[in-house]
Amino acid sequence: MTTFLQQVVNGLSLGSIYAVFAIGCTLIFGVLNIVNLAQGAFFMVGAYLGLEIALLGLPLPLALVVALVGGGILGMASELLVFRVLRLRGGHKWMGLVASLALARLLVGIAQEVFGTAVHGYPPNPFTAIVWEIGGVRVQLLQIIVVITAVILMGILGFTLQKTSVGRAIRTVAFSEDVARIVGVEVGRTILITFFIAGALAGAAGVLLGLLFNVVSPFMGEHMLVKGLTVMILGGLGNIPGAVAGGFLLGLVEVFSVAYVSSAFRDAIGFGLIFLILLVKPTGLFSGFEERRA
Amino acid sequence: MLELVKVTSGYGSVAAVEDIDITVPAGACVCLIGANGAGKTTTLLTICGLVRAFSGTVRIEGRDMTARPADKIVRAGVSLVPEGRRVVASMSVEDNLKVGAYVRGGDPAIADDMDLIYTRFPRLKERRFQYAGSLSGGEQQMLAMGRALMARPKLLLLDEPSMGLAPHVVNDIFATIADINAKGTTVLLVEQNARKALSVASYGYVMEHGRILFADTAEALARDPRVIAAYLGMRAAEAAAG
Ligand SMILES: Nc1ncnc2c1ncn2[C@@H]1O[C@H](COP(=O)(O)OP(=O)(O)OP(=O)(O)O)[C@@H](O)[C@H]1O
Ligand SMILES: [Mg+2]
Repeated sequence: MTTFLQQVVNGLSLGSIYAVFAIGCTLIFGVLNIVNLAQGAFFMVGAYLGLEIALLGLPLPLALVVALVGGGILGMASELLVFRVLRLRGGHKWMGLVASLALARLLVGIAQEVFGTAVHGYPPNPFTAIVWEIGGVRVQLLQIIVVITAVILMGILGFTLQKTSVGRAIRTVAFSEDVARIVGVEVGRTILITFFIAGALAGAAGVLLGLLFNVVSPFMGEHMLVKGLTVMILGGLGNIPGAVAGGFLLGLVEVFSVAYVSSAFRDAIGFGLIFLILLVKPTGLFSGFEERRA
Repeated sequence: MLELVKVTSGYGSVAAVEDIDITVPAGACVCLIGANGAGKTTTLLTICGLVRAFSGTVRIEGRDMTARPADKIVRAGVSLVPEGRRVVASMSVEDNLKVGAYVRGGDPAIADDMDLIYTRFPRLKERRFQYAGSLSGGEQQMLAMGRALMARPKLLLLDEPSMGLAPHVVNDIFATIADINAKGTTVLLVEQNARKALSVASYGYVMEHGRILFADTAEALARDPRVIAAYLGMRAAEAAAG
């Protein structure tokens, strides 16, 4: 029972990061029907930006903010340099896939040059040191902070999409760019904002994962990208509540498979889950309430 | 209010409307009638900046607005109720109305206008928290009109508002259009239902194969043998048969 509860705690903290990252991927898909493969690289850059701030001895909330803004700026850059150019020239969607992958490789290459290929860790912080033992279950203060931060980020996103003018504009563009134009929404600007939000979520997820596992490397983004795509499929493409649920689900499943099966199967089980769900429900586990494109 | 001078536009390199002149004076209700594929929708989309004019000039309140981005046209006071309504199915009725007021930013009068729309269309108020996709066709038409009105347009463009609606709903919609016009909003109405269109409009243009064939006051058009033969006769026969 204690092992079980321990895995729930670990799974929820990991899953909250998957959810934050995957929301960004699925948001872009919901609005433009494309996948931005550079999201993983933004995640990695976010982790390094946060690391640099932390190494300067500055407070962790500032590290998170810098990663958010840095990731967001990279997200906008990917729209301006890759996706917008392709849309204006009528390029095929596959070209966006390949071009965003190229952008990701470029960022990984730069990270290798600047930071080296060695794995870095965040400097010691008071949150890791504080650990509670409740009936044999170890809960780090850091885990709680990660989950709370992730939930706050998701809450801010949910509020923005549901209750603000920008959010309604994003949802209208997701439904139809022409309908958005008819009501006077500046479609190009709204898409740019969407890329900023997605990049910012990726950057923030980078700091959270870097803190939680104390591991930062140039290649961490590729791993995360696969998780993000997995969650996106689990939750239903473009479905944000689905990505939240899918993120937590994948986190739990992975942690449990390591605890009860073997760490060798950790990734295989994640993919097995996809196969299983796609066989039973091809539109994703949580389909039915996503924004639909007209 | 609106002036189209020798406008030619279309899709790709194919012209769908050619050399058309249309004038809509401020305060008027003007209709544009014509058969399937005549180019009525293309004309409205060209005014809105969704279809690019190949040549000619679109003037709004005397200013040249040809090929300006769509959001600039809305900000200049022109709103479209599109063919097929195009409400955002995945958003609530209330959010559809709010997005209609997008160009007004944080204008405090938005809430009052929302109440006016709800007074005009009580059905929308009952369903304000429902998804727009769950509304009936008539309710979606009301929502599409409400959404356009939320921008406080000076000129309202309506593209086949009666399409696919039951006769009593059509009557309500046309009564609403007449009322909107009476309250000071200029209207350009596109319709296949020529009888209804000519009953609310004061002036009409007849369009065929991408060109304006002729234009006259609504009364004169309703008596014009060419109009009766092509657009009213058939409907009358249909009505008699039905
Ligand atoms: N998106 C498009 N791409 C290419 N051609 C188009 C497009 N939309 C319309 N057309 C063509 O342009 C011409 C005019 O079409 P338009 O939709 O303006 O007619 P309409 O008068 O609105 O007809 P309806 O009464 O059926 O709505 C038609 O020949 C049509 O086939
Ligand atoms: Mg049409």
